[in-house]
Amino acid sequence: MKDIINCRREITSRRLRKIRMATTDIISLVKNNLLYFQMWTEVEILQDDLSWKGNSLRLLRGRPPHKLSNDVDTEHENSLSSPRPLEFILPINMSQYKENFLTLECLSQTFTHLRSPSTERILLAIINDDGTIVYYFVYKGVRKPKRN
Amino acid sequence: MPPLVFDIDHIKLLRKWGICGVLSGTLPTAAQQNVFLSVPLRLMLEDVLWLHLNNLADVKLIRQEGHEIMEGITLERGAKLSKIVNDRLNKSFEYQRKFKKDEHIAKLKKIGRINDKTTAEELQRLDKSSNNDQLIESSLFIDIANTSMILRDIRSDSDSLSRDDISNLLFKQYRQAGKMQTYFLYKALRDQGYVLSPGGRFGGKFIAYPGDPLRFHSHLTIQDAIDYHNEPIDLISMISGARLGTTVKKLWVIGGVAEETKETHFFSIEWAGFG
Repeated sequence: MKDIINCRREITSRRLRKIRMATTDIISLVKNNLLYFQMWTEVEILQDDLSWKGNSLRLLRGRPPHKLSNDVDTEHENSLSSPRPLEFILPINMSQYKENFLTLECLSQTFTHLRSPSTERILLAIINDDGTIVYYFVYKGVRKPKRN
Repeated sequence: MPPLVFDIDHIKLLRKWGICGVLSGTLPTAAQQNVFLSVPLRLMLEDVLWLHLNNLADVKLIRQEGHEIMEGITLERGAKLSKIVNDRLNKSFEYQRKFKKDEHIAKLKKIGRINDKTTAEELQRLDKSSNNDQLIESSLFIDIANTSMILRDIRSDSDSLSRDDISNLLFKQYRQAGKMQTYFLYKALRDQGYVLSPGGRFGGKFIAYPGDPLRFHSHLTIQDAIDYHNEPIDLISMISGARLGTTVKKLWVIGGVAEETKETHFFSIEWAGFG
């Protein structure tokens, strides 16, 4: 009986450790996913950090392999060889939302303190516990969807 | 009871101000598809609050239920109302009959079945053989009044209430139904020129059109307001909402009000196209 309880306790604490995956872990996870699964290039971890609810938020920067949806430069696009603009990525753990982590204030702070003035959007990388990562663009304010 | 508008002219005016509402009137015996619905126009509570706070509309509170209103009508008044309705209907039928008959005669002349010398009797005989009168009878439209005569002269509780009383009642009703902050999102979007409709179809609180819904597709699905500091964004509904948005060309918008500055913050979210 005691063994079962101990075993359960062990599993629970392991789970908790998994949920509270350190920020550096999720950053390198997203970095690897972008580089080796989504085939991005020039992916690097930026130095600026923002402390938020006991974690430190950091952005990644990288270049997508092809044109992404709702690209800003659709109007004055004339040369196919022009490199795609750099994107800025904020990795976030899916389970963190339960802990009041990703609030509107958190997004505002990220936009104010971490975003480079060269971009108007941040790419949110949401890490699931099943090994998948999904990517969503976040724009500050109300924006028009792409024309097509 | 939801806020309703019964007068066609009022509905036109509201549309000019960017409030479109949802038509909801139908007949129990002949329920219609929603594109054929008629008055009353059903508004969102936010619409009513906005109209009231901008002093653009009178809000009349009716506490009686529909059946209570009907029971309150005396026999005498009921007979009077029914006579008015019947007279109006007969008048409309007569007009339609004459219009259709004239049209029919013009058509017969055009194809050469009759000419200016044809007598009335001959015409009658021709009509009878082709069952024309019966056909006309079955094609008559039933005209329904645009406005309610019963509601127009109903006694209302709000006659004795001041504007502030009505504001308080509306705010109270609104707080019971949802978050006050959502109204501030509504207001901020209206101030930017968006026309807002209920957004349940796309899993949001509102959908926003950049102009009249008959001219534009909607651009945004707006979510209920969340607390700026303490409420987390629900990532699961964000993922599903923004993913749905790619196929229906709508951005998923979440917003809230920062209490200290009273500033509204919006974020538009869209699937990146991969992952």
